[in-house]
Amino acid sequence: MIRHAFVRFSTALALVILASGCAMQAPRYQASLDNVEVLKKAPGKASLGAFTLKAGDGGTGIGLRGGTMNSPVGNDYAAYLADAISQELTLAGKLDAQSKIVISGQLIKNDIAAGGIVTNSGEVEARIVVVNNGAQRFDKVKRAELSWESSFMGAIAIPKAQQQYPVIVQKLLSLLWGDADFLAALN
Amino acid sequence: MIRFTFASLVVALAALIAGCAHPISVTADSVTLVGTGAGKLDKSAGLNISAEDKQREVIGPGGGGDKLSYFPYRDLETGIYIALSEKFSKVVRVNGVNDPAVKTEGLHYVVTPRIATTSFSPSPFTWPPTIFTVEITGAIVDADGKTVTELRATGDGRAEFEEFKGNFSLAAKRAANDVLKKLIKTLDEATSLLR
Repeated sequence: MIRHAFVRFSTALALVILASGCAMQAPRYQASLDNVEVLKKAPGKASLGAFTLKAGDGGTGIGLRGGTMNSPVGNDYAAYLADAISQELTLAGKLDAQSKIVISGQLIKNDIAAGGIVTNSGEVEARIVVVNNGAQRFDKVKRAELSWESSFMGAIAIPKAQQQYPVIVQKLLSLLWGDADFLAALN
Repeated sequence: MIRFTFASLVVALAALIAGCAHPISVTADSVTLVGTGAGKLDKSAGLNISAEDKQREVIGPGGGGDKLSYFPYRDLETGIYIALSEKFSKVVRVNGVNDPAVKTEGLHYVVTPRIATTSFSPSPFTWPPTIFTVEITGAIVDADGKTVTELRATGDGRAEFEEFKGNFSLAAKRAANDVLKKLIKTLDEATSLLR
């Protein structure tokens, strides 16, 4: 019994060490069908402009209990946000690389606090700008935050925090697509 | 006394660990599936995944005697929607064949997928799965509920430690990618029945 428990303890310890020391990737964004259904009602199609960083360290890597979670696309989380927007526009049939309506953005805040043993939380904040044929039609900051149950064990808390990141971005985009001013700017 | 304290600590920690399941996701790189089908039919389909199924948590085996936790219907819904969109010109989410949207949207078919999964790892030291399988089955029925054809696609994913140490869900993700590619192929093969 003691021996079996010792093996499990060693295993857990090894995983905690491994998880802490490794560079991890956030899960690639997966489009929210709820968001896509809203976006389908947009009056026009748009192309994507530049997405840049204003964030601090969280823009290129998010610290999770000693490890670093990087973006699975591009070099930073601004590219992740652009990929997320591109995916939902694509599935809604609203992405057109030739469109003169251009959506661009700047990531302002990007962080997950994964140190808690009961709950953890994350936030993403971005400024989104829509330019239509050279004229600015929309310029707002959107912010999404989320909290979730966590665990003392890093081998549970870390993957759970990883999985929450795309959910926070989905929430951010639902706020954007749900903004009547944004939809009007696509007209 | 010290040995007893150490043993108690180990037992307590083991109990703590054993009581929890490690969360993974079964999501695919869904957007990469867009445009991979053989062509669309001028038909529309409803995708029927209930809210109850989307909240269904599966607890399966991982490595080291540990357990995994995941939500296959929630994670695969977007991928299945994209797979159907590769065959049908319009796809709408519905709540069963009797959903009023089937009539109001003029849907030709309703697809109710069933998902079965397996997970495995031979490792005594690491919990992420090294082998993961996903099977998607289900009938495509017409607007009257009559079965037109049955779908069946199976995908598997494998990942070794060097690969999954940065992505604990890698085997599951590969299985999801595989099963969705095969689902698109299965839909392509059923084209003549769906015209």
